[in-house]
Amino acid sequence: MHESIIHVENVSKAFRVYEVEGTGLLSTFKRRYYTNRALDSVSFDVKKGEILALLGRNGSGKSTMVKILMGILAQDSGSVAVLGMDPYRDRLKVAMQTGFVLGAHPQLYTNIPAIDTLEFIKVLYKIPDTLFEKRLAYLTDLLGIRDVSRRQVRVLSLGERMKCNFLAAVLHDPKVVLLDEPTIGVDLPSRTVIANTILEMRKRSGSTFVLTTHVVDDILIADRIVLLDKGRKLFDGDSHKIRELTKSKLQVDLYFKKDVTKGFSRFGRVIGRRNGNIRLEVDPSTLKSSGFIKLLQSDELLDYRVAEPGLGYVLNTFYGAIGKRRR
Amino acid sequence: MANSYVALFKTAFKDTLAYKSSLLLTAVFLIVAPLLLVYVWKAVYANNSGVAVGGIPFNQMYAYFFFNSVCYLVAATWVVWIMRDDLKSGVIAVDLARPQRYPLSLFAASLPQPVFNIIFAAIPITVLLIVLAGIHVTMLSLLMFTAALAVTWAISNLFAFIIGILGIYITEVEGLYNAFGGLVYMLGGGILPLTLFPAFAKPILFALPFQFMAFVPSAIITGMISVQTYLNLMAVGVVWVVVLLTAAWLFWSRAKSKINAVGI
Repeated sequence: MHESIIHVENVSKAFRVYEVEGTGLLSTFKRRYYTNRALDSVSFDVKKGEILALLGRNGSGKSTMVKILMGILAQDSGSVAVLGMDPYRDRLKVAMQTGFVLGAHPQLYTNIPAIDTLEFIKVLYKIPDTLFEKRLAYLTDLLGIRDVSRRQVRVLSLGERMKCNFLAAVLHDPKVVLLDEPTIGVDLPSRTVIANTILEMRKRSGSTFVLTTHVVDDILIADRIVLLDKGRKLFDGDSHKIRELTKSKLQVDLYFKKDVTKGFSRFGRVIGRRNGNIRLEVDPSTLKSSGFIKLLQSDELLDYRVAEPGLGYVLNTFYGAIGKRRR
Repeated sequence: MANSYVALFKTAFKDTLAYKSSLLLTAVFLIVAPLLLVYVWKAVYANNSGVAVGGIPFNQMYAYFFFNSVCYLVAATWVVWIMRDDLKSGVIAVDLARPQRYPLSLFAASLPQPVFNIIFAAIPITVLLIVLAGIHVTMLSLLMFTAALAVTWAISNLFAFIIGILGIYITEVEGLYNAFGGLVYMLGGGILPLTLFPAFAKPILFALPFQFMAFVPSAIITGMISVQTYLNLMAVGVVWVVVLLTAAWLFWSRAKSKINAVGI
């Protein structure tokens, strides 16, 4: 049903970096060079209209991967195809059909209103005048920045600036949008607006998105997660699969009439305790055990709640497990 | 695609105009610095009882240094600084992600300062010199001056780009570019006209590209060199433009794969 828009096969990339020895005045002359493998035989595909979240801790290789997809960096080995083209060799052709946000490096000129940069983007991507006006009106409404684009960028709030950046990335209705931390430092309402715009664009134009982020809320819109660690792919699947893989435990909140202290560790791990409220992390099977059922029937218990842990917690557990394995 | 570079220049120009005072101060400094040498030469001529030095009368020497300041306004380039900052901060990733060729977009983005310099300083100075100071200039010498300045601009920017590319390997190029500036100043006719150099040095200096940074344009408009000499020197200049253009393109083609805009 869906063709592959992005194909990444056994991609590796290494950088030569150095560390200084000591902290003395002349320590800069005592350099020890080594090779940092930013990506190590990474493979994945992204289908048309898919939203892929590329996750991983700092230094895991996410941004390097995005830059390879953009054609900014060339891989040392392996092959990459974006829209059927090699992004490094056919950079100009690929760039015409992709949009990008580099969260740390906005593409808007800061001393002039955003509309001036958007006018430049109109010429850059050869957007006809009528279509430009139509897209601008549509996207500024969707992002809630209709009154913002004529103000000098440097006086805008961070959220407004990031929304303008996002607008600049998608104004030409690209087939592929590469987002490297697009909501860095952005508040929840602005993040929600950007997330909704991504979903709307996907529905309307069938655009494909690759997103790197550390913000758990951003990941919720992704169809699939590819998790990298130290340049290697550790996981490829949806959020349900990652919960299964981490053997996700359930979170149980117990609300007692008075402060209680002992006897809970036999059910699972106590992860919170305050004024008669106990939060436990338990195996799903524990809920069916006679001891736990007895606890739930206790007169001292006012209420209880059972919930699946949030994706952030699951990812943290995953990262923790990786850390232990590596040690 | 050419339209996109014009659009980039317009956007960068608007952005740069936000710093009007900085632009103006840079232009004023470029005008004033070479003019200080006029006073040095005034003293030299005074000690020489007003006799022409090296066959150059004071008025011609005076005009030479005035026109030198016009050359510096045209040669002043932001290419190396924009590239240095792009590489150090990782912003180069934004430029490389756009459907434009980086070297051309770099030149388009660096044009606002020289355009400002030319419109608001170089042209007014030239007109003032010709009209108010009464320096005799023919239409032909003005045309030759303008053509030489085109070579000045090309050589200056190509050198700046090549030094900028070195930043991919050594990151900080400020020291290198400043050293280059010093070399250009000494060997390009910034301190004294190249015709006053010792005989053994002249063939070397007239074969180098630095002479276009000050000497060739200033010498032709002040009548220090003949039209034939000018044409010979222009031929050398055009060859240098072709050589530097080829070198810059080859160097960039190799070096761009070494860019490691990591961690951004």
